[in-house]
Amino acid sequence: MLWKLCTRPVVTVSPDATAEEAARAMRTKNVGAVVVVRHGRPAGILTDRDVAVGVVGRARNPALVKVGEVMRKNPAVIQEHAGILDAARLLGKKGVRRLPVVNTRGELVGIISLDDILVLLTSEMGHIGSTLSQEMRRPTP
Amino acid sequence: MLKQIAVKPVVTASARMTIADAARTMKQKNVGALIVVNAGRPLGVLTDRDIAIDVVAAGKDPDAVRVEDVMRTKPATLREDLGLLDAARIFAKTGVRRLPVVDKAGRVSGIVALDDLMMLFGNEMGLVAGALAAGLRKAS
Repeated sequence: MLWKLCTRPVVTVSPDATAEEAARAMRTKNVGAVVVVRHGRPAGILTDRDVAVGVVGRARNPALVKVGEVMRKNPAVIQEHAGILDAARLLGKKGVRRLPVVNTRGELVGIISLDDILVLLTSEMGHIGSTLSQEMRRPTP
Repeated sequence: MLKQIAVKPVVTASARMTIADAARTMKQKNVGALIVVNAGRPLGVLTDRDIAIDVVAAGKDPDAVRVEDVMRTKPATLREDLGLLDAARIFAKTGVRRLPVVDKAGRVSGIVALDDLMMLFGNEMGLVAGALAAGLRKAS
């Protein structure tokens, strides 16, 4: 289940924070995206790319622009009880790289990214691979 | 061979460009990284993340900082005649997500992202899985 796999605690900012403050949070916490939270619920996502392209690339001042103006609003979210394949499918359907993970009340509990899922699935593939190669090494009766 | 999959033409920048101009170029060309070149040879790589983390988060003025102050210098490069598995191994060693592709003379001819490789390997896995499934159907 996702609540076991997703990154917790997730890095959050308020929609009233500035883009510069959000970038500082990304830097100190070493993450590529922050979830924008209003009353405990995800209201948006802001990525390092949004800061570079959406603020600097538009010649706007990062110390003045509010996160609420440049974030991706109303992001697709996934329930903490959903499975990893549900998350993979939703990422594909929405064409995004990250999903905030929420509880039944819609409150933010974590975040899961395409990279997290790829790492999990490919390490499973590695286990399958080593099982197969052990089998091949065993002498046939 | 990488030559067939490297994204071309690659978007390049000069070392003296300001970060504000580099960010505008990333926006216009819809890319996440610029290869910084001098006479066709790769000097460095600048990503959108570098701009957010090393310029904005550091409180620096994007009009005053130059690409050369922020770029990752002396990037590992991939020869365009390398195979995909060799490229994957070099990515594993460097820990970066994008690498410039160079021709025999060392001039930049493209860029490859880890995502490109993942997509290719994923598609191949899908074909292998399809073949296995067909075998299972026949056996039953």
